[in-house]
Amino acid sequence: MGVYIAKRLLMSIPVLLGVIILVFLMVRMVPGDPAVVMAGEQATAEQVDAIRAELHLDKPLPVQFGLFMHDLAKGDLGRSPRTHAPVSEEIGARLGNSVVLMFTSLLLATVIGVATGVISAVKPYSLFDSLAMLVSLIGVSMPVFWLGLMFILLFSVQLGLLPAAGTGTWLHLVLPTVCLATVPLAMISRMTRSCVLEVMGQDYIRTARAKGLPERVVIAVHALKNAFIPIITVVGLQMGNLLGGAVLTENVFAWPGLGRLMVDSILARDYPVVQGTVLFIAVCFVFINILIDVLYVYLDARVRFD
Amino acid sequence: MKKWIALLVVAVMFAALASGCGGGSSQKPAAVKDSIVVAQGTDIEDLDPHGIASTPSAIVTEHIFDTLVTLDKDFKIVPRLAESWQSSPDGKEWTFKLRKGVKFTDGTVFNAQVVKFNIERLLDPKVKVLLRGYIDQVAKVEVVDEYTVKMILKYPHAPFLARLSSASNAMLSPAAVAKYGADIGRNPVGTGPYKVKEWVRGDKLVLERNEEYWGAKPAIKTVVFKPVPDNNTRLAMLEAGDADIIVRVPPVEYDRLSKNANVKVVRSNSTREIYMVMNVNNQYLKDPRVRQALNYAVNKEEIVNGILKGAGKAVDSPLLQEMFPYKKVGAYEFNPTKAKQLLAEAGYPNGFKLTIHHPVGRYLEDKRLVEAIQGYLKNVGIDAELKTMEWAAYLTFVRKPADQAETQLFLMGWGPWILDGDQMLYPLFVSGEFPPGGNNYGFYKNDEVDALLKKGTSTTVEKDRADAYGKAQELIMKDAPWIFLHSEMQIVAMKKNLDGVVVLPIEQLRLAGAKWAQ
Amino acid sequence: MTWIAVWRQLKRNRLALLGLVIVAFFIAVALFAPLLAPHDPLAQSIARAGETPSAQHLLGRDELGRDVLSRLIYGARISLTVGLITVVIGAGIGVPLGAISGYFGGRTDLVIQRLIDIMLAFPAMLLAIVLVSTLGVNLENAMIAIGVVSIPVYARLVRGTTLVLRDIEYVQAARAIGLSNAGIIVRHIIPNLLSPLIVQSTLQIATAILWAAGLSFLGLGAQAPTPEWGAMLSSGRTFIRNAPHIVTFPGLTIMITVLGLNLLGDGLRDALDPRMKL
Repeated sequence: MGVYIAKRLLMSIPVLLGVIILVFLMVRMVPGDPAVVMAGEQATAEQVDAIRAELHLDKPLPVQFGLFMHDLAKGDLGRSPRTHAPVSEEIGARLGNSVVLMFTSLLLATVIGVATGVISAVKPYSLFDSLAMLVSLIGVSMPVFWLGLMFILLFSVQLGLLPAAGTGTWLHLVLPTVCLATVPLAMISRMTRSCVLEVMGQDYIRTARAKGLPERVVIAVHALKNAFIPIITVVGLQMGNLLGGAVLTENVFAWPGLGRLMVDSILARDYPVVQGTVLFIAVCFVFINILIDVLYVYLDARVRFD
Repeated sequence: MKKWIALLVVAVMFAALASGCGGGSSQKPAAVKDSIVVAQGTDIEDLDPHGIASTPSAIVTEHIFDTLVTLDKDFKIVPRLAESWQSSPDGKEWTFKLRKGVKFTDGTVFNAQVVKFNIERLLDPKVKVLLRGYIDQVAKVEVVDEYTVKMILKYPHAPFLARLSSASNAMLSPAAVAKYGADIGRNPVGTGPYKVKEWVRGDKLVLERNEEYWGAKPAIKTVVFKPVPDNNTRLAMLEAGDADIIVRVPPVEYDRLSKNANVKVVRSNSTREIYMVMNVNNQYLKDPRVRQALNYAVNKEEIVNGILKGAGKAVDSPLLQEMFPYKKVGAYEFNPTKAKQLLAEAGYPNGFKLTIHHPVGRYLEDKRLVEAIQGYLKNVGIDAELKTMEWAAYLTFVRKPADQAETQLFLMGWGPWILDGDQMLYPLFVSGEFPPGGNNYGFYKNDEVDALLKKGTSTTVEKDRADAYGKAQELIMKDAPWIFLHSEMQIVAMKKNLDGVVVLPIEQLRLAGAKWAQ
Repeated sequence: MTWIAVWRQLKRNRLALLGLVIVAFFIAVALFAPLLAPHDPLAQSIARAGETPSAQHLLGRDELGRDVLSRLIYGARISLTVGLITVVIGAGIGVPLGAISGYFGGRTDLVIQRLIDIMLAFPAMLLAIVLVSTLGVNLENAMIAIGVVSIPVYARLVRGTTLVLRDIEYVQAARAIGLSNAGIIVRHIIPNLLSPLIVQSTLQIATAILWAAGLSFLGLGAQAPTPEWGAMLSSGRTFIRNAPHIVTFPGLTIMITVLGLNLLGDGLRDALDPRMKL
């Protein structure tokens, strides 16, 4: 196992390096001079030049890259030329929010997805099956900013049950969590259903059934195990996505997460923050993937030994 | 299996804990409310007043810091940290008597030395001062005595006093600058009615009352600023009670909100003027008749009523009514026939093709605005294609020098932080202000206008200024370097029982006088 | 499995049939848009903006007084095209990449997989924003961006299937009789990829329509006054309280279409390849 993890870590180095180069070149490829944008329209020409110098944009590209890598090697992601705060501080201020939201929405998606998936599989093509499928697909079929807005209008403005936006209490989490859960929920429910269906035709289930165990337990204990791996795959994949990809939801609910930081920063041409955030998210993505793969091996063994 | 259930339970508890931790400020309506939550569109970037250039930041810094002079609720320049002032007859020397007994929140005493330090910091090329144009007329600052300071200008500059009211020219504690260095923007120390209690980036900025404030003590103890990017969300927050004041309310909501018994809506003039710039080097647009034709072709009143739903005022001069010295010169009336006639005179009876560049989400209803203009131009035979650009790319695009400019007709807005016409007319119409450095994006040049605007800046006799600017406004209107459209109105909505909030035309809020009615 | 068998399978699945009907309906609307639309989708009338549904304007007028129904009908063309083009781009690049990677294996595979990993680790929304801002804000470039973002999905899918196929007997046999690699990929690998690709592409069209709406929300979608559904939804959202028809009808149209595509995609997956895990 140790060797495997070491190998995976080693293999992630070129990937991270690729991400660094890609993001470095990309932010510089986008038209829009960061100095002009950050200085604003009423700024003087000298100020624009000063910001350009601050970002080393007056130097050739390879030199800029060298300076960036040099700082990075020291663990320094630089400072935002817009807010003057260290990039690590900018990320740190949002990380908790992103993680909490990622966690709650995946939890919700897993609990409900597995439950509906199992029930659907017990009675495939039943009314429940069709309805569950339809409802979960309607959730993913709505543009999330529209869904979110309607949630706010209904639950906050009309009914006054939940806060409309922002952070604070756990109640603030409810609406964005539901919005973000739609996609993983549909996937997990679907995955659970087909995995459980598949297993139910297999021999050992029949044996278990012959022993006289109630059917529900049979399904829960044996069939579900077969669904662990695909579910974990979805959860892992979504973890990476939700960390930086919840931009629209974060915008609608004024949730201060990493996605919004990244998008606001690219729109403001805040190069250091974009670079830092993308790199951070990529590192998380790589580690989550390794973790998932390690889990596979572990779970596979369990399934076989059972 | 049990293990998994246990894991789930732990996970749920963890989630509840993690989300509960931030819940300290959970708002249960207290007996006497003494806090306000303000939802702004964008986040505060930095709280070093000298470094800011964005309105949301300025709204906050204006509550932490004081400038020497400021605008009152009637938009007149009034004393703040300066009690009185005097300028020499030639307008080059300004002497300020300072308020005594003012202390920064770190205990530093405010005096003439502090003013000198601040102005010199503002002028220091090593310090990032984005709006240095608001102060760089100063050549030298002299301390006359403990509470008297003299500023010597490089040249007579009539709008100087107005410039000192800009939020960017606020007074910062010199001790704090020495202490925090590059981090001063996150550790602001001022003399204003509030001071920073907590700042969670991207989430909220909490201000608490400065108990040692020299002026009238604010009734509200805590002010929370939250960045809420979506217009609809801000609105919902007000309606759901999660916010007490919201800015940038969509115009279409004005009527509905006005009928809401729990909400007070303030719709007031702002100094943000919206216009379509014409690149006068363009083969068609170089002809003044064509430019006038475009002005006649567009129905400004319909835009104001139909698209802005009344949240704007069609302009009748390059300068806005709120600004000194405005002169009504008369707008181009909506007259497509005349437009066609002028186009025919210019040699384009069948019109021509143009490209309209525009940003989205920057100005009030900008997308619909250009769609409507496209429609009006089509009516007079001009086939205009719309090209949306994302703001950063757009700003860079319109700020190219003349030989690289690819602009033709494009949407812009201008909202100065002071009410002196100089900050509007000079940067936008003087031929010395061409891009890349300046803001005369259409390359408009009229020697007479240049001379008049220069005179308006340097003479200190108010009547002479008014005459010079008046004439300039007439000439500019006639030359039509823009399609003159409208000035935006700002719509701020708040709880009905919140009194004393001042909305300034420079798109700013003053909350120090706010209080909850019983 | 023959197409008849697939159809038989699909017919048993009520939801999939519903999806098929929805998709067929919108394709028909797109094809016959000029015949179906009662008004010019671009004709403005600011004075009558926001009028509620009436006999002349069944779904009302939008914020510039344009007929909402006509815009939705023409929008079907645009939004479905967005879906198709992004699939062409995503599959056009992703499929060969995945096939080559899976078929040749070894170092080629390693290099391609790391490239795909880089793309996957790179936040997709940022990639799309950067591409659209760089190429210019309009629908064509939004399609390119969404297509590029979907490349890794195709490459992964195809690689996985190819890895299995390459060791199957008849592929080995083809290699033994001296068929070229390109020949084997085209004649034996790609045809076997068809089922998963059809399923993936149906779902991808749905995703693309949602992405286009998301980009519009960020101000990076279709160029005004193009009646693309996502642009209509996002620019109409200001009116959600005052003239809800302006935002609700585009929203529902998107929802129904995407739902139809998702149902159809799911049904096809069951029918074509029940073991497939997407």
